[in-house]
Order: sequence, then C-alpha cells, then structure tokens
Amino acid sequence: MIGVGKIKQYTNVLDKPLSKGKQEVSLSAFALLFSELVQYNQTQVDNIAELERRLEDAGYAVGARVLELLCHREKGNRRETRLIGILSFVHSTVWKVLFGKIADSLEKGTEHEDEYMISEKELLVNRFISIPKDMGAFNCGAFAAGVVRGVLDNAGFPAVVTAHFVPVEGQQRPRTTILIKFSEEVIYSHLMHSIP
Amino acid sequence: MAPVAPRSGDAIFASVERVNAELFTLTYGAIVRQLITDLEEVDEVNKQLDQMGYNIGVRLIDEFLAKSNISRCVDFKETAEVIAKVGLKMFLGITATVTNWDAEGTTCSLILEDNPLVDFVELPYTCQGLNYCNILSGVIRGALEMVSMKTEVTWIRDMLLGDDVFELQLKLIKQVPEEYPYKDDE
Repeated sequence: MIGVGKIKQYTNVLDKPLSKGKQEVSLSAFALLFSELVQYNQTQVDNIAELERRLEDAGYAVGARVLELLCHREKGNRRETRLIGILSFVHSTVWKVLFGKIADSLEKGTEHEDEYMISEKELLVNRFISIPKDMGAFNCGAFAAGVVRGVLDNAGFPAVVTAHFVPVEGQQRPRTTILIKFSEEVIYSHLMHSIP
Repeated sequence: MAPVAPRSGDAIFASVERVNAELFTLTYGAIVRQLITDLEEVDEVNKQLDQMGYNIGVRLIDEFLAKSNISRCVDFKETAEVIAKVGLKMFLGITATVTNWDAEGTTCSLILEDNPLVDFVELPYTCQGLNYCNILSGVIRGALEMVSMKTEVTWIRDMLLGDDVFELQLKLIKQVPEEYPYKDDE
C-alpha cells in the first residue's frame, strides 16, 4: 500500500516480505524463555519421559517452521530429497541459523544402518541447565531433538530422534548427542538410491 | 569510588551474547501453542503467559541492574524511559517510544513498532481475545515489582489485531516502601 505513512499495513502474514533473518535478541532473553518452557511443562507431567516428550513436541513445532522458512530463504524453494542431503542441511544450515554455528559433528552409527548422530559439545539449550539428581537422565536436548525431528519429518524423512548425554574425557560437562533413527522406508529408499 | 555512568542500551546489547531472533520467536510460538492446547480458554492462556513473564521479570531485573549501571530512577517518567531505551534494547534489541502521560505522571504508554515476538504470526479467528505478547507485559510488571514498584501493564493496541502499532500501557499503582533487611547476617 502506498501512502499510508511510515508503517505499512499488512492484512496477511504471507504478504510480508520474508525477513533476512539477521535480527538478534540477547541470549538471556532466550534462556529465560526456554527455562519458562521447561518449568511450565514440568507442571503438566508426572514423569521425566513425559516431560521430554512435551519438550520434543515444542521443538517439533519449531523444526517444521524452520524447514519451511529455510527452504524459501536459503535454498530457492528447493527441498532435499536425499538422506545425506537432508542430514547435512540439518547439521549445517538449520544449526547455523538456530544456534549460530554448524553442529560439531554428524556421524553414521556404526552398528545400525538406520542410525545417525549429531553431536554438540555445548548445546545451546543445555547451557544454563543443571539437572537435579532426582531427575536422572532428563535432557533438555529433547527440545533440539524435536527440532531435528520436525525438520526431517516434514521433509519426508520420518525418524525417531532422541537426545543423550555422552561423557567426554577431560571435560566437566558431557556433550549432547542427538540420535536419529530413521524409519524403515526411509532407509530402504536411501539404499535403493545409493545403488549405482 | 565515583558512581559508574549508566550504559546505553545499544552498548549493552552489543556486548552481550546474542542468539538469532527467529529461534526466540519460534520457541515463543511453540509455547503459546502448547498453552492453547493445554488450557483451551484464551483468558487462561493470557493469564499463564502473564505469569511466565512475571517469573522472567523477577529474574531478569538482576541482570539488568548488573549490566546497565543504572541506579534508582528519580521518578516514574525516568523508569519508563529506561525500560523503553535500555531494558527493551538490551534484551530484545528493540526500543519503544514513551508517550501519553497523564497529568499525575503515573500512567504512560510504550509504543513498539518492532516486536520480535510476533514475526511469522497471524492470529486465527478462534484466538480473538488472545494477548499474544502478554509475556512481555508480565516481564515488565515482574521486573518493576523487584524495584518496589507495583504496576499494572496492559495491551492497548496490538498489530496482530489490526492496529498500526503495539501499545503497552504502564500504570504505577503504588511505590512500595523499601523494607529493611530482615536479618543482616543472612
């Protein structure tokens, strides 16, 4: 609309130009918000598995939107159709946008054909979190696992994604490994494609 | 030691660690969606968002005071300016304009043109009455309560509801007298 003054009026969110995504907020703002997300969900559950599932759900919602956003902005409306392609998209593009850096590593599981792992020495969502003893193996990385699952699932690669702490020698804090276990049909079609 | 000069919001924002605003925006969106699913009633969602904001405000004021070198504000006018120019800048990277003062100087409006909470958001018809950004008013209320000011913070205008800007009304209810330390040695 022309001539409505400094502030443009948009009737529809889709009419807005897509932002370049360079805006930032302080890390504390995010950390405090994330902490409220965890605390709120803690009031809604009575066990750790349930809490992780709810954090994963929240992450999934983020992942689904990030995929759509980044396919428009970074990839000229193209989406990866190959397993390795989508994995490196998560490990590089998605990670870089969300967490400001490429993930530390992306590896294929040695024991199982259908498992891949993304590892991060200090995952953003685990940075300000210390797990009380009585909460055992609870991992806020479940949120990041949800993001990964949201991206993969919506790109057509259904998987079960979980977050785990892996102790590292000589380091106080464990690293977070996000384990991706693809569903059978994904692996099947991946293998079909890989045959030369 | 001479008092340290207060730092500008820009300087603090430039020096703190930052994250991509989209991560923040989308995470907030996920929270709101969870609340809508769990609580079903829009009013309950508003209340819960306000409560979460309050919890954040109570914690955030410490960091704010530590990093800004701002000491006691002389009056509510200064308080509002500090929120608009330093507080919002340092945490969200935005600033607001303060206007619409009443004669007593106890009520004013913060006008936000930019609001990182609402990127990619469109309120569906079923969410009329939802104050999507209610967390922010909670934050301000919680933070001010920690510096002895009881306030009422309400959304007057909301771009998601078709207004041209976001307008947040701050109303000073009362200045709580400082209570002296309960026990010095604690």
